[in-house]
Amino acid sequence: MKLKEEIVFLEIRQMIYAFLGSAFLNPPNSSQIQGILEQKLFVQFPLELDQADFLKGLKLLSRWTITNEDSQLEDILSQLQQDYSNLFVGPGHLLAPPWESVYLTDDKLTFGSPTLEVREFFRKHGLEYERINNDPDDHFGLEMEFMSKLIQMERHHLENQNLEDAIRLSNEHLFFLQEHVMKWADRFTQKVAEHAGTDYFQGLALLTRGYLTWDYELLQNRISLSNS
Amino acid sequence: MADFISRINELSLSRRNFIKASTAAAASLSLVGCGNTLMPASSDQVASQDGQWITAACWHNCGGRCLNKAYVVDGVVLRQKTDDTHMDSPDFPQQRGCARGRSQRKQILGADRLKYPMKRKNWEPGGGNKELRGKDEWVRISWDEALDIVASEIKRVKAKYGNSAIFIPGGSELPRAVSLYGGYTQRWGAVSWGAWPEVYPHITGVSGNGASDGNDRFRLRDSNLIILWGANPAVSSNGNPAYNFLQAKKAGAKFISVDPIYTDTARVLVDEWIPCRPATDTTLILGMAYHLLENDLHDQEFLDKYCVGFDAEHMPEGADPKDNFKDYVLGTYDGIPKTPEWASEICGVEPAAIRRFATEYAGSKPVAIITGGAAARINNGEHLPHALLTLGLMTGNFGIPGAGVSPNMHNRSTYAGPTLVKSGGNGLPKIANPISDMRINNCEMWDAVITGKYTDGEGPKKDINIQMICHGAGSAINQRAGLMRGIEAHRKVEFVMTQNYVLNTDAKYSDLVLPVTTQWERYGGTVAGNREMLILYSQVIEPIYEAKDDIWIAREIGKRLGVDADKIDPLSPEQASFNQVAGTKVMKGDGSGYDPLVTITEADLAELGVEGSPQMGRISYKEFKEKGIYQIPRAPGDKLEFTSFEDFLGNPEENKLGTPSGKFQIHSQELSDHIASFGWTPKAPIPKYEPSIEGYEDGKKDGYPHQLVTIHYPRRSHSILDNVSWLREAFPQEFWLNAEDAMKLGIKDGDIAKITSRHGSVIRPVYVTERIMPGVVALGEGAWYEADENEGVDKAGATNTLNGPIPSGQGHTGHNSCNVKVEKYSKPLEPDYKWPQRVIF
Repeated sequence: MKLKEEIVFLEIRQMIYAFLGSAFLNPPNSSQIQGILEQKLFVQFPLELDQADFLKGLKLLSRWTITNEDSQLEDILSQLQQDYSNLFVGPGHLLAPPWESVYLTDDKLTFGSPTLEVREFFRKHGLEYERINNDPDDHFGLEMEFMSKLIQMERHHLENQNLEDAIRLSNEHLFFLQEHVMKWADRFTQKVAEHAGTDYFQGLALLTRGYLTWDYELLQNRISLSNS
Repeated sequence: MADFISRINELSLSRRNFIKASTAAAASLSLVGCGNTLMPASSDQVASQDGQWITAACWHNCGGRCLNKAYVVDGVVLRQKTDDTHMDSPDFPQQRGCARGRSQRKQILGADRLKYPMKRKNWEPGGGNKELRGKDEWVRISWDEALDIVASEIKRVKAKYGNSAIFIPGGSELPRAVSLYGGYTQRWGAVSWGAWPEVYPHITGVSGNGASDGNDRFRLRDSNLIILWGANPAVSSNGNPAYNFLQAKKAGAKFISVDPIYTDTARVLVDEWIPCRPATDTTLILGMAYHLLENDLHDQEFLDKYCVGFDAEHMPEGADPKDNFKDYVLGTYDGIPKTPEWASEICGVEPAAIRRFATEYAGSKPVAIITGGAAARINNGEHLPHALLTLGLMTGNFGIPGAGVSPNMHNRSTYAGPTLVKSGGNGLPKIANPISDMRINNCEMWDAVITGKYTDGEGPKKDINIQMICHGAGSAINQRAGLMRGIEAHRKVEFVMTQNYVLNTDAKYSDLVLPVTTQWERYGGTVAGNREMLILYSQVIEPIYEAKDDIWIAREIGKRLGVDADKIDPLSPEQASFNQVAGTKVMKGDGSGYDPLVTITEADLAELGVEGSPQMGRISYKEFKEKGIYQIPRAPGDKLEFTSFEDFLGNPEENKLGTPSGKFQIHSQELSDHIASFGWTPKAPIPKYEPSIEGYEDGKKDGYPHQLVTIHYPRRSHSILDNVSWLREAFPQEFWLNAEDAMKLGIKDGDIAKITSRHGSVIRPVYVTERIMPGVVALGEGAWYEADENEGVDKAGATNTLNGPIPSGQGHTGHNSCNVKVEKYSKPLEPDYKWPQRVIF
């Protein structure tokens, strides 16, 4: 029973990462926003944590959902897309640059050495960004998507009762969080939360931060257990 | 299996710290978010950490040209370096980069790159709310939508107003498409060279603006005295010029600087600084000429033999003998002798200093007078180049090694003479603009947009109705005089679009911005600089985000206009680059002519996939590509040394100058008629002092007591690179104010000052210094205009906020004739390197 539970649990985490990936990587689109509103995703979020940022984020997202229940999709979308542009696209000053290199290099540039390190991590697991060398590999959304792919692989191993490989991937997941995501996620989500012009992106930033904090702790505990 | 289950149980303990997890709800997640941008890797090889050094373009119009290389690992640039292709020596120097070139990663990979086509939120066909330009929000759109908008606006504007309503101030690609669609209105007028371009050929018979004339760097070592007259090559011609001058100093030359500013070059080189008020240098020259005549220090024999117009006995055919230079200086007919005392009142140099300077000049032959564009970059300033050349002629300081007068500037500073390594052309056929007679001058273009009138030579102004502005390369709003009028003009027309890689000032005031690639993202080609070398650069990185080449944009718009796209863009980048390389010529060792530089084999042609023929040269294609540079070997005494007019001096009958008299024309009726034909201000046939519009005298009269000079600044190349906060911090955009003036104004170093001209106001932190003469103030040109709408000031200190759009003379821009008043500003101003970038992150 535990195995099945564990697999389900992995699936939820996988999907949350996948959702965060696409939410940060691409401007909001109509099917996505319509889906979120119709499914009331944030009112009945698949995971509930006892974590302050997470809860605060979820609250904002629920509020955004309820406020927009009767709004025209077109209006909501244009507001979100504007916010997305201001935060991550430009033109003009970006309120929250979404690339790791901007935070972790002295030069504060895109396409720095973290871009290459992240790329190597992807390749180690047989993956490559489809826009390699056109867009930087160390985009926050892409790092989230990568987490989701790692969990997906972990889940397959577990389904095949290949525990050692599952643990190895879980370790890789932790390692990637340690070496990359957690080194800048705090500052990045802080910027998004601070500058977002909508409850949606502010909520998303807090939810993400809370979720990552929790996921990171979970993995750390688990690794210490598996080593014991 | 039991063990497996028990371990799973253990591992799952940690799940206690969540409240609930619901698979049912999880289903909705999969509906809204499943990115699939990570694909199976093309190889399971982990990227090699070994990178490659690639020659990167450093293509800016900075007045230098240096070798710049990028270290690229798996498509990512990790660092840069400069020339290390050979050992450095004074005779064979490396081509080393400056702070700007070394900041290119920040220019190209900063977060402030334009990434996607963007549309102004409230734009609609015809403009929408046009007042919102520069303030509106932006919306990302697809390339198709963007290109459709541009094409349909071009069609609409053409149908409604005709082709002349389309104004393209810069760029060379979109004009190809629009020329095939009936043409467009062009922009014209010298900006950098001041009044030299039309004066130099009329006086000397040598075509061009004189920037490549004077002495080769080895010949400068023959000078006894080098006078830098409004020239600051250490900043304006980065690379080797200041170093080459240093070799002349080591060889014994004395240096004098005539300049309102004690420049960086002066700090390194000069023995004496003669501060002179801007736009008044001609009076200093006339005062010197008077002293030479008074003391018989001039070279009458030289003047008689090689010049016309100096005195009544040597006038060109048809000229009034009274209209000679000597009698003008002596005041024979106008009653005003141009004595050093007379000059001193205007130019601010003490009479005794003028006399001492003139005596030293006349007695130190050979003397080289070298000027940049600055001194002559003044309204109706044609008299200045003319007077400076005449001063040299009076002392016979022409045509002998180490002598001369020339505006030897930009990337030819200390590198006068014919090009020794000459790139081939790219082979792109020209497309003529069918309405090429529709041209508006730099100093009149914004007024022409606003008022519908423009000058086309003598006679009444003509009508024009501009309704569309398309910016390619360049920065017309920021970098042309009358910035405030520029913004007004941009808010008047029906459509504005900009192709750029960052949100520069043009882009900011547009309806539509199209992101373009930088040279690092393009195939490659040659870039030239000083005459001794040529650089072959290669593509460094892939085009980032959705940036496209300008020529691709022109092709796509052309297609939508229904013109032949293959005419717009007939060559592959590979072929264009190959044509340049194959056509590159290098001077023979004896200076008698050119040989091909590059050996090309059948194998090279096959590998490159280009059309061409094999040829023999000095180096292989591979070597040129790998090194990225070819520099011709030089040594003192070689056959490639150069001094202008040596052949004319040697045999004035055989080697007549290309002037009507075959001699130097101190009197040139043709020049006078030519300047009059532009339709603005007159120019006497001889070098008479004709005070500049908004020069020293106008300022005194109108209550603007300070004269502004706008200087090149090391933190940027004109406006390019000004967005790099690294450079902003290293080279602050300060307002230079003389210490005595500062005390009178109650301003201390670091205070914020408000500077106001007749045309606009800026605020800037003050640099209080003795390095600038009293009454003169300075600001670096090229800062990106930043409006404070509430206060009505430009916070960035863009000099064109202050410079007025004043058409005069040959239609050049007089940036250094500008009157301002200065006051202390009471509000704080954050340092600009801390400002939010117009991120093109």
